[in-house]
Amino acid sequence: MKTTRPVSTLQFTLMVSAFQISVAFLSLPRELARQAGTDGWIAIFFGWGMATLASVVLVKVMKNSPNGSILELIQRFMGVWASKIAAVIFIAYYLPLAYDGFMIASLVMKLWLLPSTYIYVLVLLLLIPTYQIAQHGFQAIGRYCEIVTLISIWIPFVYLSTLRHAHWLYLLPVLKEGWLPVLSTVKIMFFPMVGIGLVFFIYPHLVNKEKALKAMVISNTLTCLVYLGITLVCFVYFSPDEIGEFNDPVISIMKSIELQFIERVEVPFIAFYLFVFSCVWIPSMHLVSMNSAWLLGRGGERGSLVVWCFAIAVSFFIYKPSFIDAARVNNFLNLTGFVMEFALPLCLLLYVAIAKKVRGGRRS
Amino acid sequence: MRWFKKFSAVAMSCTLLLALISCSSDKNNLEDATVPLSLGLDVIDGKLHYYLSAPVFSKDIEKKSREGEGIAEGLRQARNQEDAQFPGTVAFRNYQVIIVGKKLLQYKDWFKVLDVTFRDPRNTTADRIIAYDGPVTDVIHFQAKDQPTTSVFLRGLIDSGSRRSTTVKTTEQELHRQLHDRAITPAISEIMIENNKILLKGTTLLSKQGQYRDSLSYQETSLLQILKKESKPGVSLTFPVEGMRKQLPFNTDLVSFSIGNISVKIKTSYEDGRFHYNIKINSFISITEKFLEYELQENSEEMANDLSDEMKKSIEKLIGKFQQHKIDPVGFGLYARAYHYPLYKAAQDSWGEELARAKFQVEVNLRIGATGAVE
Repeated sequence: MKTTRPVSTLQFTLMVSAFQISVAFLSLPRELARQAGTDGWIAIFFGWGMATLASVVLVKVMKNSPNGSILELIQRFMGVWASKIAAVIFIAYYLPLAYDGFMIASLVMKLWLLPSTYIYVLVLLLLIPTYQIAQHGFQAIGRYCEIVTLISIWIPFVYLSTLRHAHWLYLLPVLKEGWLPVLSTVKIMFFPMVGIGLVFFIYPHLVNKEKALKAMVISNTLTCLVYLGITLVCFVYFSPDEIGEFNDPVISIMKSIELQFIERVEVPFIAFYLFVFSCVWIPSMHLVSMNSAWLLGRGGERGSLVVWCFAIAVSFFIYKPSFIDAARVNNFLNLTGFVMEFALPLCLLLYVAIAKKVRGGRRS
Repeated sequence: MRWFKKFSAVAMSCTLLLALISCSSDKNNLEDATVPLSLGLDVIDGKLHYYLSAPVFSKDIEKKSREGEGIAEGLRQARNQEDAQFPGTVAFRNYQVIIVGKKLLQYKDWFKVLDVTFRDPRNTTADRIIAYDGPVTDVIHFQAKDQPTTSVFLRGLIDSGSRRSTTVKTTEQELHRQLHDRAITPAISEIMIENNKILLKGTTLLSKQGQYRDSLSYQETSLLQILKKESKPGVSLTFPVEGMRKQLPFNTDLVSFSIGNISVKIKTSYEDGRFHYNIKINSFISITEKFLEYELQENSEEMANDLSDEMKKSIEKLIGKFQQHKIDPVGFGLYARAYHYPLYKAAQDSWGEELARAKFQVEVNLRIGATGAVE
């Protein structure tokens, strides 16, 4: 189908990683600490394992449709109406993801940087570049993710400089309360790994389709390394008794850094982090517009993107979200993320395998 | 489609313009703001008093800072009062130091007063916390011709002092950690005013609730920092060598040395229902000052043993002090938590008492690495 705008393996890897990291980077250390104390970091490995398994399944599903997205695959196996329903479901999934991204980004920006600016103004400003990038499809988004990676490389080094105040004894003993708290924390590791579902739509654009799985494993590993790094940095800096008190330990930890020329290091950090944040809503908005164009049956992707951008701006104008709402949306997405990117691919794979067998049986 | 593109370009630039205009409410010109650099907290007649000191940027004014004060129930609640005393809005707070009066340190949980500095993220939390034994107003209103603004001066005092391990460098964030962690109790810097000069006095030890417990001298602070493994190379210690004292204006029995690389090993065990700590300190030292007639070349081992003994005694005395006050500024609890978690967990809510029952065994092994350029 549309291979006129191919996506390279590197772009694909970075797109998936950036999507994953931007979703949960700020909240992950806090959530892990609240659930499992200082052993929370072990749960990240489980997250990696699950995401890798899901990636295998996803790629296997998509191998059945090398030239079309998941919607074309569903259409081929289940019919037009099924694919339309699927498009509605994908819209209902990616729209809250984008909304959540805008919400958290604008709330964090309002709290830390611009306390007297209206949220809808911030969202409006964020929507303009979103529209400009998302309208050009996955290739433009992939290039954008490459640039974002390049300009965010300094961030880990800033975090490493906080290790001067590290108390490594906080990590001991490992598994202080046994495996149970760790295993029960695994359930919150689904949401941070959300983003592997992008392969549903990017697969047909990939240049090297046989490298898709490898790329996904690499991006999962990259994401988990970033998560592991930031979680350990937070855990050795904050005392286990206090970390739950900070809403954004990832940002609060920046306050300990004292540079001669800048007092609040977190200010440029948050401004830069907006680039990383944008890697969740730009692909999401693109997918929403793509799915709604599919639903209408015409090639009006750009038109529907305008409409959706406008809708989001208006929704922020009418409804002013709070941090409590953000937590609620996060809980909802944690569940739907699991359903859409872990359970759904498995069901699809089973269905496709059975359908193939039935058809093959008929043919012979 | 062309009109659409033009239209969208115009619409976009309009929104941008509008957005920028509404963002301007978030800007704050430095000319219109007053930036207090130090905050003082004290209790007078059972009421919380706050003091601010903000620098004044003007060539014509001789006094380089302006002070404000008032009675407050909360720092944020007193904001209008603060604004009333300064020409600009007291908008963003970049406190460098927070001076806490000893009277406030008598109260439990006084740290909660500083809640606003954590809740409003525009505040910095890297400000040093300093204890002062006396009315805080004296420090805030302190003026001397040979000294920069008190806020800047105090910050420099604490920074250079902590580099030499004569005081601790406890920022607000660090104090938050030390107060919340059940395995450690806080230690903050302490200053005094003597002969009309602000001086560094050492360290103030606080209880788990933030109440005043004891003060440490420079040398005791250095030992505390060594035990905390936070001492930087170049810590200078002075101990007397026994039986050599003579009546002279300078103490002839004292030997000073500076510590190079130091290795501190703390091992814990649990026997007979109490924690046991085994502290091993190994270090190469270089003698920096001695007045005695003493052949260092031949008797260097003897000298090293004498100094090791003295250091051991001082450390034991210091730990005794901690145990007497049921505090743990070193953070021995961290080791208990890391290596004996179930036992620590049972005692964590009254860790001070548990530590008071613990047994300590200190071993100091100093070796003289250098004696200087003269014999």
